[in-house]
Amino acid sequence: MREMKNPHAPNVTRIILSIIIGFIFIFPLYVGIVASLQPAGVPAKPGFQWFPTTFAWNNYQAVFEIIPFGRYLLNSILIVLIAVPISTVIASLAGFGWRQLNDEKLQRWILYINIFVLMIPGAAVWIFRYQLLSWLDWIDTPLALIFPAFAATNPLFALITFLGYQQIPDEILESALLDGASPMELFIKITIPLSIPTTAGVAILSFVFYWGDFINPLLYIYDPTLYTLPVGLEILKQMDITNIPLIMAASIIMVFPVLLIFWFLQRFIFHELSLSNLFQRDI
Amino acid sequence: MKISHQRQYLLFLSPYLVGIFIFIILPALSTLIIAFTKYNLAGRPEFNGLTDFVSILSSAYIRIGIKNTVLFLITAIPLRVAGALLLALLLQKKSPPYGFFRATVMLPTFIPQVAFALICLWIFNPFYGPVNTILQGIGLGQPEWFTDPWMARLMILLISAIQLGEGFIMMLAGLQSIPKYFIEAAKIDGANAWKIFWKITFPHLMPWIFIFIIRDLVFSLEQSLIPTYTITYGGPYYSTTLMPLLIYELAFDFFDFGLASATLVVFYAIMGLIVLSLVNLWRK
Repeated sequence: MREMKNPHAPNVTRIILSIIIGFIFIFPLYVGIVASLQPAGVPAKPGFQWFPTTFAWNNYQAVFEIIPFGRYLLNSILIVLIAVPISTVIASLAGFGWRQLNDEKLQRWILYINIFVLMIPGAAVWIFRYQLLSWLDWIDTPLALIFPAFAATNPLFALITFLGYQQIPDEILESALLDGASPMELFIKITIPLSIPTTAGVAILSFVFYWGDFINPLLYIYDPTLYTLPVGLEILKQMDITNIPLIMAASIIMVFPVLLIFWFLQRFIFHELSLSNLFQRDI
Repeated sequence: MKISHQRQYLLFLSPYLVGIFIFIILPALSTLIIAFTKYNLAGRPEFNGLTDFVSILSSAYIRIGIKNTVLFLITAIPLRVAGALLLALLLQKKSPPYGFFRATVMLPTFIPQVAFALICLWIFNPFYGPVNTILQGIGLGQPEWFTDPWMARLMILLISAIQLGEGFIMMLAGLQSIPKYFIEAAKIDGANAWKIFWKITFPHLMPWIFIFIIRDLVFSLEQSLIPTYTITYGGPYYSTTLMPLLIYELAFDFFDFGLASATLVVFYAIMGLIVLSLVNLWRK
């Protein structure tokens, strides 16, 4: 007879394996930080450095002096501040409108369109977008970096809000309608407050996109004063690919806000409230 | 006059629908048309029939790009699917430390891609980088990640394999959608973990794995653009020139929009056929 295991006892093998996995996935970031603290211009010591031997914090300052990193940082922040709210609002409005349609056929069609759009490869839209942006005179303006927000950045975001809002019981919305609430009130006063995790999740994912967006500045921005952080990193690399400490310091500066957001909001994204719950519902 | 509620809901949807039409659907459709034209930045597109499609056949550069891409897809997708599934099985527990480990698995996917690629540039540095100093330490030599075509391909594959956060989320979602009582009942009947996995968990996950594979045919390639651009720029000897970088080169370095579009059309027509046959296989 097999013994019955206590389901609450921690499983040692599982914990050890998880620690190894965690180590592998944190490793790149960790060695990045260690490398960013090595003094620049000094040849690396032979052998692997598990811990920083020096703390050359001035690398972080040097990044701002060698290239206009402050300018790029400011540009990135501005783009994020404009694009993330637009993208989140458009995705939320779409998700709400989509949820509230009482024509099931129409709902289904919007789902098909979404899935179709999700499957379109990025490269397929570059060329015509270039033409479109030149017609609009948006090439070399911040709008060339913001415009994906007008399409909710990623069709996945509208799908997430739609699935998230479906978790709100119909009765709540219907009784509010009977009390004379307008659709807009339904959206702002009931749907949004009841689905903060969904909205926060979509806002974070759009932040991740605009903060790290490399391809749009590469294709549509030629004016150096409009460059954003990802382009700045590439410039730093092209200036001197051997100056690892400086390149690492710049990379860590760019990674830091994302880590911060992860830290604060991980309970929204990774716990039970999470995206994974959203996907359970049948459409 | 009052607008009916249903009309208003359509109004809520309309900015999004207009947005995806202008910025995604229209550009994708026009690529289909541009493929049949001679078109660069200088002039208007001129219809030139199948010329671009014929030049694909004669271009060694495009051929090697397609070959690399196919090679990448048939290695990266199984690796990413298996990796995401195993990690989700390992880390699906609700207790606190696993929440932290789940977050670490997502890190390489969600931190800015250029920053991650540059960190990888250091990690795979042939002389001083962490990977090679560790390999050297355990007597495995120092692979030339940047100069040997096969090692460069392996490096891009490894980077793609560690960026599996999205698939990981999907697998977690799939696992959570399995009713708990199924597994409880099997346990009471005396089934072991292995049996539970193959008889219950895996069949339940099949739809999720299927969606993951279909999406990864496009998405794993999208993700490859930044590493292949910043770390190797397609080299050495074009060994890491994958589809997105190839299109970028054709369109924005050679300014041959027609040829770039034709290449896209041919490649994604092949992909479409693969997807359709997969869907058919799935239905059976």
